[in-house]
Amino acid sequence: MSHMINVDNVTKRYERGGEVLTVLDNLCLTVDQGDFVSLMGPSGSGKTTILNCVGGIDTVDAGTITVNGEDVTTMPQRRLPDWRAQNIGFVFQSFNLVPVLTAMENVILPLQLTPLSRKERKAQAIFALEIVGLADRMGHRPSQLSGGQEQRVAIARAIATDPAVILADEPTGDLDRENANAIMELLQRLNTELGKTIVVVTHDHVAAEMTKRILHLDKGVLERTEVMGTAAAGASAGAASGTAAS
Amino acid sequence: MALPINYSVRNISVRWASSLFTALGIAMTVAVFAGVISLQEGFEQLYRERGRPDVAIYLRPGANSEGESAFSRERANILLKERPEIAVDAQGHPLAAAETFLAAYMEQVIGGNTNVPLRGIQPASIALQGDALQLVEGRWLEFGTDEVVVGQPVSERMVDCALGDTLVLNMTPFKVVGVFTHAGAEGGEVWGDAERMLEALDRSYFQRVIARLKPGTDIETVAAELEDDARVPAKVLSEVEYLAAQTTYLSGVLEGLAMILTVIMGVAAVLGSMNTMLASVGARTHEIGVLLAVGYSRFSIFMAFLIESAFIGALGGALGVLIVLPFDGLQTGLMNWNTFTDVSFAFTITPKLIMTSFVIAFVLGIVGGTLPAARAAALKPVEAFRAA
Amino acid sequence: MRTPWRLVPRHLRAHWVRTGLTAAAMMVAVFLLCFLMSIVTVLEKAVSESSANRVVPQSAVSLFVELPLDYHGKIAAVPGVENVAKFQWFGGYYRTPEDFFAQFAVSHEVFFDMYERDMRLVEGPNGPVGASGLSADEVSAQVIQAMSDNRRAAIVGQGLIRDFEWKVGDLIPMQSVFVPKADGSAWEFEVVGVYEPLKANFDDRTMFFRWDYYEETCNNAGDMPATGVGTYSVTIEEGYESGEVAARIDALFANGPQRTWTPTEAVFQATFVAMLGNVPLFVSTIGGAVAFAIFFSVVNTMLMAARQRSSEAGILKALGFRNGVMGRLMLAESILLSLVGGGLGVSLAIATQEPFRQMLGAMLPQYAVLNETAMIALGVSLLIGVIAGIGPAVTLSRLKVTDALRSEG
Repeated sequence: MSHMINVDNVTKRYERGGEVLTVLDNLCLTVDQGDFVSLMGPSGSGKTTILNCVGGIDTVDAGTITVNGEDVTTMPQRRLPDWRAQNIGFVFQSFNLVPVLTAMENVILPLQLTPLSRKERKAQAIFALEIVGLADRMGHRPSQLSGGQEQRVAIARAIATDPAVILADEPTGDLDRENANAIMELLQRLNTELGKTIVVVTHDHVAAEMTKRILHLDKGVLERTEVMGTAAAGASAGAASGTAAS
Repeated sequence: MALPINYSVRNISVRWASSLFTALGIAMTVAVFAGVISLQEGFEQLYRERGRPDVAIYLRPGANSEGESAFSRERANILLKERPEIAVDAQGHPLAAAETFLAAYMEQVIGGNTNVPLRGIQPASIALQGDALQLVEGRWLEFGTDEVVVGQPVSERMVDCALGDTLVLNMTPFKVVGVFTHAGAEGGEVWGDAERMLEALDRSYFQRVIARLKPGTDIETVAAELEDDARVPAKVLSEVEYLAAQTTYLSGVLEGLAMILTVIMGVAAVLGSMNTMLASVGARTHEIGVLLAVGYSRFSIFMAFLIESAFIGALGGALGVLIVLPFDGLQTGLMNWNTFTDVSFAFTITPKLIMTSFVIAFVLGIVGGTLPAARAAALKPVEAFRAA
Repeated sequence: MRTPWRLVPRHLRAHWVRTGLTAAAMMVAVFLLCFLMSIVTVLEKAVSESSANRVVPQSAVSLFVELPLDYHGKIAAVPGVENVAKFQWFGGYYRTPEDFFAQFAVSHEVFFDMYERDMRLVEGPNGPVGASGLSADEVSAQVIQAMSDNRRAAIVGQGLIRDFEWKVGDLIPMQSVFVPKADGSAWEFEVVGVYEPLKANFDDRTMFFRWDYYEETCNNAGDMPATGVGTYSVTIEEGYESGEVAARIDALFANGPQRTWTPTEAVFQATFVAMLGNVPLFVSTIGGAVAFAIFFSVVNTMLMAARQRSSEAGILKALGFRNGVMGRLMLAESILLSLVGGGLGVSLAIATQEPFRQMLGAMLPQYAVLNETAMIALGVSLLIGVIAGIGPAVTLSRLKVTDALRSEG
């Protein structure tokens, strides 16, 4: 399989108050190298869960997930952190930055897990901050930044190690329209200019429409795939996989 | 409008772990205070309230305890026979006794030596102790023979002191013929005939004279008269004063220790409760904003937090008392530095001590809570909202 | 095992009020712990530093029973005995009974030889060591000479010079409770030298004066004549074993008139400590309670810190840090906090040694915060830090990323 992300027949259940909830129900979907996908669906549709499973911070009950050619579901627990450090960049809705560290130090955090020298890490972090347009704010603490700026620092941190995939969970959830658009445009740019593979979980249609494809999830299954705009090649591949899944 | 007390109590239960650890810090302070004071209380009870105003103790001038005092046989006899203030019994004998006293090494049953008081007595000694002294086993010693009677704790704790045992003093074997109890420190002594003891120990001096005074005797006058007496200079004290003087060092040390410990640990406990209360205020900043916005006064918010803190203090007080309560009645021994002898007594927890402990805990809670409560009351609604 | 250690000081600083209050509480409590431990260790140290080469014949019956004066010659004749000195507790006071310190009448002819390793004479009739080129040996010789020339001569410890502002040459009037003069007048002593203790069994608030002065004054002017000797002190000749010599001395007097007990100086000191009975136990118990109180305070702080740290744990793990990262950070934070608080407490205890020593006065003249005490206190602080940090550390390490990111506060 040459897909960047391949989710194959994944099932996940939670037990809550004696009741078993099926959050992911034989879910299948794929994301190609260089794709920019959004996951949408009502609360409890399993969109955040599948994002977490793909990122290796949650586990599945059945099925397999391969990311960048490696099977995440069978990977030993103790290997997962290193794998994450090399392959995944996370962006969350809130509590994204470590409050006691400056923007710069936050971006350097994941770089500390790489064999880079201190100097190289710094250069890489500055580069990442320049991409998100916040190089001039690198000495600021999260409390001294606006919500939008915080999210941009989080994105800089996610791309700093040049991971294969960027996973963003409601990155615009706490932001107003204007800032939300700015964040989505930034992600768009990372996708088009740097070729990053990006998966965004969102409930915001406007934000979703700025991605290449929207995967609609409901009750743990992929209901339909919506291809946006003109990116024909990516869209047809996505459509194919989407059909296969439903 | 005042906030219901419920509000404060609920907050404690919500943050129960923090509240509990803070209360435990206060509890430790109170426990240490109560522990040391109960020790002092037990020790003092041996001496306090047992003194009789009409019993006089004669010591050498300058001496504060028997160990420091000495009377030659001639001087002791003058006091015994010639003092007009001393009462006489039905047969016309003075109710007075010259006694020897020596803190002697004895081996404990559990091992190790300690100092046990050996008292050489005269026949009047027993009568002079009145009802405080009770024989519980065997019989009283026969004067003129090498026999001793021992206090009950001595009989139990020291080697060769059980009824029927032979106790060797220096070179002379003494037979233990009786066991007695005495409500005071005398209960921890070994008593024998003064003359036999002097001989066995190769000594020649008496340490004190004890006497019952005739009714209406003014002890101050007697004391003044004997202070510079040419033949027998002596220091005369009522038994009340004498016994009070036997606790000064140890009691002083214990009281001082309790105070230092309570102050230092109290400071630490206050800092701890301040910490907890600040966290409590911090976590409820938003809530305080709401309360202010709906019209609760700053004072009621101040009080709510102060009450919360006082509750934690009271909880600490209760826990502290619970920690020390099992010690109540527990027998222990300490060296009485006034007499240089080992005295045994029990930790004594009085209702007053429990009250004092509670008050201390309560005060610690309130002191620790004042600053955080003031901080909560000083919040501006707008800021409070923004913080959340 | 990469760990972003810089987070540790950052968090402590970010919550500076909490950090400060905890460190202050810890400082106060560790200070108290040091104080309590010092009381016990100083007592024990006096025992361990006592000379094993000296034995102390005394009454087997009581500390307060004297040995006959004629035992001196008999003890001196025992094979293996090098020197014999008489010691008598004087039980006097200067000005008021509250100004308590120890005084001994000693056989001054042998005293300086027998105790040369325990103390050093630092000032004599012609001034202190160093003044006008006086060497230590010259000062010693001058003091010893003055002692033998002057019947009322006495040497005193530096502590007495400091506390009573005495000078060499001063005439010191003293009242004795044990051996008062018949006419009630004061005994008089003349300070001819000052000593500095070299070992913990020797304190710096003692006065030593001549035995013959003591004996003659008692006999001629005393309330009662001198009847005996409190303790003898005996140094053992080289090549002899102190236990054997002691046994020989005790055997000599097994049939009276006063039986003797001849412990080594260390054992003798130990009996004084043993006489404190349960005091070391009480002090240790209190110390334990103090340690618990600090422990609760640090645990409380770490719990508060941990509550605010779960999302951070989630972020770090999502970024690819190992599961233990937050645990190590919490542990380090707890240890750093405890060590800072504990270190301040130990420093405070060391800084206040002098006032506390003065406050304890005669009860514990050797009071000092010894290095080993400081180390133990720091060890306890470290231990408290570790234990207090473990709970939150384990909780945060076990926290699943998804749960960590969901909850806050």
